[in-house]
Amino acid sequence: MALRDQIRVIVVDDMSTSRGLITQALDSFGIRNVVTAADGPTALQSIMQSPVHLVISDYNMPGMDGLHLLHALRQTPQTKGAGFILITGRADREIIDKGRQLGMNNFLKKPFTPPELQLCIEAVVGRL
Amino acid sequence: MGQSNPNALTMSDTDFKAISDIAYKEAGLVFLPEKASLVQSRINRRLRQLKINSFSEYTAFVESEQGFGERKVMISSLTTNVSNFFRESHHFDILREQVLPNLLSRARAGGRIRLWSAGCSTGQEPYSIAMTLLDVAPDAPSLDIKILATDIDPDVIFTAKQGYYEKTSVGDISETFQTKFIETAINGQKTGFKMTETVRNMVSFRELNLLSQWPISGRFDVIFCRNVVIYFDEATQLSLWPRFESVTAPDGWLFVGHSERLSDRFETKFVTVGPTAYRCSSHFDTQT
Repeated sequence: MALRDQIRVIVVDDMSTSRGLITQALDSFGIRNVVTAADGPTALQSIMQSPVHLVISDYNMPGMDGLHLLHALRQTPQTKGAGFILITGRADREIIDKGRQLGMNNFLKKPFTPPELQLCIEAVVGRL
Repeated sequence: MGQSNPNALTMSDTDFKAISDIAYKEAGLVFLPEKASLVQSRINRRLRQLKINSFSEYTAFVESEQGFGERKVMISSLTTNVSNFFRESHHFDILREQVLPNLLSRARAGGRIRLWSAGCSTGQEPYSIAMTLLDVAPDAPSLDIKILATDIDPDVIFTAKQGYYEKTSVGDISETFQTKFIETAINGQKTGFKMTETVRNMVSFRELNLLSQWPISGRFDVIFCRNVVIYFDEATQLSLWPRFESVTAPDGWLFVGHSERLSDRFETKFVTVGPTAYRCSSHFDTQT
């Protein structure tokens, strides 16, 4: 069974259209086991209840941003092993450095193409 | 009301003169009085961003020592950044049919080929050049061929480097080229398209004021400088063409915008070879 059939992913973004576009791209790679969350706290709760292999999170979200979500995930034993990809419109050095310090596995700058997303994911979890 | 609503701010003749003087001094841009309403509307947008309530306050700031950064932003606001893929398509036909065959023979024999999109705005022109090149020569990435793309405005260079465009401009690209050279891209809530990595890698983007020094080594086989010099006065244009000539390779090509012509008031080696297309004649006269 290929990795894409086994992997479970959560997409976190406050914009429903963005969640939809990313989910659609994942579907095109054959990743079907996907859940979504509109904010960090909901994502955390969801992951605690049902663990994921990979978190794909937007950086800019109201309340808990992507880096805060990453920090929270890395603090919790049940969630700290999940791969984490940050999606950001501003690939500022500061954000990327902070992400790396917190244990971010990869990042992707908007706008991105589905093949770029796939490469980004494969760099974290291996060939799909 | 006038002061509380930035949309209603009007620019005095003194303010217009101050702004056009700075634009001329900084970037050689010429704004005749009939362009006052264009200048007013573009600077008004900037006033709203900065929450400045009068043109005089803005011009005083821009003229001050601290206004150095803002002078660049002002120039950026004043320059028109309209661009389309394959604009003035006859130039790309000439490129494909008359220019590239010889250049590619040279490149495949180990030669160095350089193309320059001067005043590239948000990148549509250099990417159109790159797509034409890659269509004719899929092996171009393995040859010593580079496209330099420059613009005075760092914001447009930033956009150009990303190679991402809204769906609305996709129609300017033929379906065959769409299949070969663009990919759907996700940008937050929107989808647009992005030039493929192969296309993006053919182009190097740099910020450059054409009136400053050109940190350029070597000569260009092809220069696109279209709809750029129309913003300059004749004196500035007259000073620019010889500079372009000095960086054009023997037999090199120069393409200018549809409303632009090389002035006949200076001695030039450029000869007309098509509508708004010129070729540096010094060598090809004797070689062909």
